[in-house]
Amino acid sequence: MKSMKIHYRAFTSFLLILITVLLAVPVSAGNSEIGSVVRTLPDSVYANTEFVVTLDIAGQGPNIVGILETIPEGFTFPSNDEDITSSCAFIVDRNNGSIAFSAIEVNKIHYKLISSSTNTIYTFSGRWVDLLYQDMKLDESKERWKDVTGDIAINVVKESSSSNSGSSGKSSGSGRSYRTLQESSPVVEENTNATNTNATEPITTNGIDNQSNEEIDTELSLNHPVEKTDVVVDDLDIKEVEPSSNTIPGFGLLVACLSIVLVTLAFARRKGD
Amino acid sequence: MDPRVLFVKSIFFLFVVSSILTVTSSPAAAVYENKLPCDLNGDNIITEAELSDVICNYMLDRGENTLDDVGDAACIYIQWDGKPLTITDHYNRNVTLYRPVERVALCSTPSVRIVASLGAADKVVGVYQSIIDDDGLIVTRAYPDLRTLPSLSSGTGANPEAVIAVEPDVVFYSAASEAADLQDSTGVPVVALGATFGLNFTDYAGTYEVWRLAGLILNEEERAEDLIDYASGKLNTLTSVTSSIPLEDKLDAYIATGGNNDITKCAPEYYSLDVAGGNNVAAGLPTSWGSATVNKEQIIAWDPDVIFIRYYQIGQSLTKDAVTDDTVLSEVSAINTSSVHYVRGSSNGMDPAIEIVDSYCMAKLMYPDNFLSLDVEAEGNEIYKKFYGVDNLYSQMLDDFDVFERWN
Repeated sequence: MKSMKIHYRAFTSFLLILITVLLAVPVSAGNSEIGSVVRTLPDSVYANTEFVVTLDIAGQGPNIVGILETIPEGFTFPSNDEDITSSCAFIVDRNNGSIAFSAIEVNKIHYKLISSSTNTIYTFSGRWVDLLYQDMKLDESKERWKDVTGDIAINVVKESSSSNSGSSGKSSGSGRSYRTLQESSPVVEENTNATNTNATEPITTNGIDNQSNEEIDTELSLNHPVEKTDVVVDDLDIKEVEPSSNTIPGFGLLVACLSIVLVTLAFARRKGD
Repeated sequence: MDPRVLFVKSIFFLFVVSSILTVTSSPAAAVYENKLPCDLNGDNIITEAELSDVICNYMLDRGENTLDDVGDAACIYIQWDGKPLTITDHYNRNVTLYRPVERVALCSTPSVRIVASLGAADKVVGVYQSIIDDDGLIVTRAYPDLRTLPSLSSGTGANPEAVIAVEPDVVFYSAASEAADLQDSTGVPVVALGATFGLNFTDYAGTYEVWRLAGLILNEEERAEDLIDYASGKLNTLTSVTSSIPLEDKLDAYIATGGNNDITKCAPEYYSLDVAGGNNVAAGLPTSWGSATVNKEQIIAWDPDVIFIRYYQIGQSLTKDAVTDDTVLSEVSAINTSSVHYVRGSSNGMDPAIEIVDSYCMAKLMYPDNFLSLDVEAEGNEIYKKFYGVDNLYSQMLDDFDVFERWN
C-alpha cells in the first residue's frame, strides 16, 4: 500500500507539472500611452432634465480607446441617437442603460443624458481599455480593462419653478451647443458585403433582425461618422493555410486521461484500504 | 508485483504514449490567417467605421472578436493605415503581414541582435539553437532570458513545427531560399533580413537598411532611426580623425578571423578596420562567408604592420602566442614590433555594437598619438548600452575574456 501511495503522489505531481507547463503563457509588458479616463458630472441636476457627462482621455500620441459607461437606473439617453453625442462613434444599449464609445484620436467625449424623475443620489460606473496596448499574450480577457475614474455620483434634485435650465453644478450642460451628426456610417452586415446606410436601424449582426422604428429605442444602435471604404486587392500570392483552432495540442486527451487515471487510482486506493 | 501497482504503471505508460502520439500528430497550434482581423466586409482594409463597430460591440460583450482581435485591428488602423503591411525583404521577396507583430520567432543568429537593438527583445517567443548555444553573444548577456526560449532549429535549419508551435506573427531569417521554404511550410510570414548586418553599415541590405526594415515590421521605426543616427555619428567621429591620416602613414593590417581557425584564414572585408584607418592587406580577395584562406608565404609577402586576431570565443585556439611563436612568420613586421593584437569580433554573424567599438579599439592601437584621450572602455560601455540597454557590458566582457587591451 505504501508503494501504491508513492506511485500515486509521484504520478499526481508529474501530471500537475505537465499541465502547468502546457498552460503557461509568456506575458510581456506593452507600451500603453493612455493613463486614465476621467468622468466629470454636474454635482446635481434637476429631475427629468437633460445634462452632459464629460469623459477626458489622458494620454500621449495616437489613441484608440474603448469605453463602456453604465448609467444609473432611471436615467435615460435622448431618444434620438444623434442627440446623444457627436464626440465619437458609439453604440447605445438602452435596455441595459449602457453606452459603448469608440474613441479614435479623441481626447474628450461629451454625452447627453436625461436624469431620473426621482430625487436622490445616483451612481455611474464605467470601464475602458487601451486598444493600442500590445503584448505577446495570446488569449487576453478583460484583465487590462480599467475603471473610469473621476465623478461617480450625481444628485437629482427637484426642479426649481424659477429655472428651466435643466441642471446645476460645476459641469452643467446648460448653454452648451451640440453638433448633431449629419450622416452615419454604414452598418456592416455579417457575412455579406452589403451595408446598411441607415444608422438609426438596429445592428443586424449577431442574429438581431431589422425591426421597426418603434423598437429602435430598445435595441442597440450604432452611430458614427461616415467613413469611405476603399477596396484594396492584395496581389501577393501568399499561400493560404487552413485556419485551425487555437488550442493546446492534446490537451483534451490529457484531461481525459488524467480523469480516468485519478478515478482508477481512487478506486484502487479504496479497495486497498 | 502488486497487481494494482502493475495496473497503475500500465495506465501511466499508456497515458505517456498516447500523449506523445497526440502531441506529435496534431496541428501544433493556431495557423497564421492571411486576412485582417475585424475586417467585417473582407475587403482587406479596416476603416474607421468598421473599427468603431467592432470596438463598441466588443465593449458591449457582443460579437466574437477578442481583445487581441480588436487591439490588432486598432494597431493596423493606426500603424498601417488600416491595410496589410507588405514589405520587400532583402532578398527581393514580397511578404505581407496581416497582424501587428507582437510575437517574433528568430531563425538566424543576427536576427537576435537586430530585434534586441531595436528594443523588441520582449517580443521574442523562440530562437535559433545557435543563440542558445553561443556563450559569447553580447546580446544574450544583456538578455539572458532569450537563451531559455524554445529552440526553433532542426539540424542545420529551422524546424517548421517548432516555429508553428510558438505562434509567431513573423519569423526573421537570413537566407532567402530557406525563408521561402519556411513560409511555405508554416504559413507564417518569414522575412529574410540582410545577412551583412553588422558587416557593413551603409550598403544595400546593410545594417542601416536592416534596422529600417525590421523597425517598420516591429513598429520601432523611431528607434531604428535613432540607432542609425547614433551609429553613423560614432563612425563619423572616428573617420573624421582617421581620414586625415596621410595615405603613406596608414598602417597595413592583416585581420585573422580567429576562433579555432588557423592564422591563414583572414577577412578581406572588414568595415571596422576601414573606419579605423587601416589598410587591409587582404582586400579584394574572393570570400566565402566573409573570409578567405591564404598561405603563410602570402602573409610574409604582405608584411603587415599590424595583425589583428579576432577573439570571440573564450579558450579559442588561435592566440597571439600561436602567431608570435610561429617561426615561419618571424620576419613579419607586425611580429617584430609586437603589433599583434586581439579585437573582439563576433561569432555567428556580425554585431554592429562590437564592430563600432572594435573600430575605436583598432584606431587607438594603430594610431595611439591620434587618440590619446580616447577611453575605449568608456566608449565601449556607452555603445553597448545604447544598443542593448545594459550598463558596463563592455567592461564585463573585458573581465570575462581577460585578453583584450585595457588602457588605464
